[in-house]
Amino acid sequence: MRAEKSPAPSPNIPAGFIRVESRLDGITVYAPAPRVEQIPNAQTFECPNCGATTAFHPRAGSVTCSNCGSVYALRAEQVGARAHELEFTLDTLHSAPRGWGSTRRDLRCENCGATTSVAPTELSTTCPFCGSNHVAARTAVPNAFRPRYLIPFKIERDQCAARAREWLARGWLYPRDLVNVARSAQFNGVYLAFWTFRAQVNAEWRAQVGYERAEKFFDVSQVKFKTRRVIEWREEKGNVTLPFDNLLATATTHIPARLLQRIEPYDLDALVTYDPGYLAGWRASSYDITLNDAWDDARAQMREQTRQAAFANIDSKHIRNFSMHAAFDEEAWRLLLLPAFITTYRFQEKTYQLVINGQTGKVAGDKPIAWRKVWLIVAALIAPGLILAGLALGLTVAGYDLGGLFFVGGIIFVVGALIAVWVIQQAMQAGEG
Amino acid sequence: MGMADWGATLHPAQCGNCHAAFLVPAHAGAPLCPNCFAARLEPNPALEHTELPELILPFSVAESTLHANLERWLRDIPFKSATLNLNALRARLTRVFMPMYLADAEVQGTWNAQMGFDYLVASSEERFHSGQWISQRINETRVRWEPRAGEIARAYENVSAPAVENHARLMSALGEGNTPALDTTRAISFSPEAISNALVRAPEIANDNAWQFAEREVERRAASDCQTAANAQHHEQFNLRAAFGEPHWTLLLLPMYVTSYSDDDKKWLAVRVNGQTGFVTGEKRASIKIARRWALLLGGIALLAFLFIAFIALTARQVSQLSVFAGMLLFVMLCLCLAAPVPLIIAWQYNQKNKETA
Repeated sequence: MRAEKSPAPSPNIPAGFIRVESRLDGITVYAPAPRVEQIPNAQTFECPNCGATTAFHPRAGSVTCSNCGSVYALRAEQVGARAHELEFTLDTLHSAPRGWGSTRRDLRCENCGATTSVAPTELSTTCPFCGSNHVAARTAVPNAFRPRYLIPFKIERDQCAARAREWLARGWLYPRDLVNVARSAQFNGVYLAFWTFRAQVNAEWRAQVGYERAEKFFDVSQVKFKTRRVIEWREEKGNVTLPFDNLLATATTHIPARLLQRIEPYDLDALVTYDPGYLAGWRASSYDITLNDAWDDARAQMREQTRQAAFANIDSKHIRNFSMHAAFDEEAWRLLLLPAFITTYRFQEKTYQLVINGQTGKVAGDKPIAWRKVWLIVAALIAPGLILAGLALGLTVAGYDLGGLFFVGGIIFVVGALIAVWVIQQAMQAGEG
Repeated sequence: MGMADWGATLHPAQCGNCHAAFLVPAHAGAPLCPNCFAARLEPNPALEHTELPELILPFSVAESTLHANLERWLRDIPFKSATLNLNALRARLTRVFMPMYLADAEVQGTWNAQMGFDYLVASSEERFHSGQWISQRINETRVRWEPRAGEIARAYENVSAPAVENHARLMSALGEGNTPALDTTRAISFSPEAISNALVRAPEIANDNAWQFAEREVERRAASDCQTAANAQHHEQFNLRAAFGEPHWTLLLLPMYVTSYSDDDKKWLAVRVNGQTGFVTGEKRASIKIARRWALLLGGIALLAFLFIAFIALTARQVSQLSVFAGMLLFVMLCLCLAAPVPLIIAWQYNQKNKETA
C-alpha cells in the first residue's frame, strides 16, 4: 500500500484514512492510515532530572535513575497469553531466513558521541565508554520479525547469586566447595528470543489393533482341554483433534535448548507490549533459529503428540500397521523476548553454564560431578557383600560349614551392586545436565 | 415522428392477448404474435409515433449455423410432437428486432466498501506411514477484508436498460449469463434496409423509467471499478453516494429469430434464436400423447401375446411341442408389460426436468 499526496479529501471519507495508490483514473482510494511507530534509530536512556543513566528496574517495574532515584513509568500494555499472533503467510516465510539483517550496525552514543558496533542480533547495548544504555532501532527490522511482546524481568540481578548458591548446594553428587563459585559469578540479564506457535491438528488414523482373548484348546499330549491367550487383530480407524496453544520454542542457539527448557515455564499472562524502556540496562538478543526451522521442530512435536493421543484412544497395547494423516489448521506464531540471567563459571579448569529464569527465578545449569565421591559411595555399597561372601567362601574352603553366610554375603553384594549402578546413573545424568 | 421516418413500409400492430406492440412489414399481413403466439397481431394506429432507433445490430448468424443449432436443440427431446421438427421450425422462423436502451452516464461522488485482498498462507499435511512422517506443504488462499473509501468521477458508456417489460426474459433467451449475449460494438446506424423482412418490437418503457435499471448497472460497474482501483480481488457492502449526470440515451435494436411449436394442448411454445450468435432457447416439451401411443402399442402387443399363450395353454395337451414356444412368448409378454409404461415415464420425467430448469 503506497500513500499518495492529494488535495483535501471529501468530507465523506472517514477520519484516519489516507490516500493510497489507485489503479484506475477517476477513482481515488483511501485506506486506514497504518500505525506509524515513531521510534528513533537508537534511544538513549538518560535521566532528564540529573542526566545520569537510567535502566529498567524489575522491582519498581519502571525505568529508574540510579543516581537521583527518579522513576519513569512505561507505557506498555499487559496483553497476556492472548497477545496478537501472526499467520504463516508466504511473504513471512520467504523473509524469515533474512531475519534482522546480516551486517553489524553502528550505534552512536548520544551521550558521549562514541560509536559502538553491535551485532545485528543485539537489540540493546551499554556504551563501553560512558555506560549509557541504548536500545537499538525497531523500525530497522522487517515488521513481522521484531519482537512485539516481552515479559519484563521480575528477578533482581542481586537475587541471582543467592538462588545460584542454593541450586549449587543442592544434591550430594557435587563438590562441596561448588557453592563458593556463586559468589564470584557475574550474572548477565538477557532478554532471549523465543517463538510461540499455535495450531490445531486434525488427524485421521488407521491401524490393526490386537485384542487379547482366552481360547480353549485340546492338548493332545496331555489329553485335556487347556486355555491359552490369543490376539485377535481388527482393522480400526479414528479421529483425533488436538489444539496447541503457546507452544514455546527457543530461538537462540547460544544457550543449550535443554537448559532453557529446564527453566520453563514462563507465565505468558505477564506478556506486555514491547517498550524499549524494558530493555534499558539489559542485554537483549534476537533469534538465530529461523521461524521456518523452529516451526519444523514445533510441527514435529505437535504431530508426535497427536500420534500419542491417537495411541491413548486405542484400548489395547497391541497396535500394528499404524498410519495417520494429520492436517494442520489455524497455524499462528509470535516472536517474544523472555527474561533470563546467564552466567558461566569455571571449576577445576572446566567451564559450566548456568541460567536463571528472569521471571520465576528457576535455576538450571551444568554442575561438575564429584566422581571421587561417587566411586567411594560405589565402593562402600559393594564392599560389605563382597567381603562377607569372600570370607565365607574362604572359611568354607578351610572346612567350616558357612554356606548360609556365603549366601547372605552374595545377596548383600547383589543389592549393593544394584544401588551402585543407580548411583552411577544418577551421577551421569546429573553430569549431562 | 411518424412511420414515414422509418423509411420502410411498416404498420403498427398489437397483440390482443399480451399487448406487445410490433411494427409489421406490409407484406406480412396479420402474423401470430411472436411474443405469446396466442393471438394474431391487430393494427393499432395509436402506435404511429414509435421512437426511431439510432443503432441496429444486424442479423449475422449463418443459415447453416442456425439450422445446425436448431437441430442440436431438438436432438435430446423424446417423443416430439408433429410440429416439433426442424422443417416445421424453419418454416415458422420469423425475424424480429427487440428494442433495448443504451445509456451513457457520468458518476461523481464518494464510495466506501469492504475490499477483500487475497493472500497465500502456508499450511501443511503430515502423513505417518511405515514408521516415518512425510510432510507436504499446502498453500491456501485466504481473504483479508479491509475498509476502503474514495471518490469517483467516471463516465460509463453503453449501460443497458430495458425498453420492454419482459426485457430480462428476452435477454436470457439471447444467452445472457452464458456467453457475451451480444456484441453491441458491431451495431450499425439504423437504416430501413437493415430491418427489411423483420418485425420490430416497439419500446414499451420510456427512457426516464428505464433509468432506475441503468442506475443499478452503473452502480455494479462502479463497484467493480473501485475494486480494481483498490487492487482488491473481492468487495462487499459497496455503498455509492453519487450524483449522476443527465444520461444520453440510445435506442438499439437486437436481432432475434422466433419460431414456435405446439404442445399436446395445442398451445404454441416459443423457440428463440440469437440473431448474432445463433444461441437457441425455448421450453423443450415431450409429447405425452405420442408417448401414450407408444405405451398402448407395447401394451397391445403384450395383450396379443397373452391371448396366444392362453390359446396354447388350452391346446397344449394335444400339441406339447408348442409349450416351449409358449414359455418364450410368456417371457416376451412380461418384458413388454414392463416396457409399456416406460415411454410415458420418460416423457413425463423429461417435461418435469425441463419445467424445473425453464
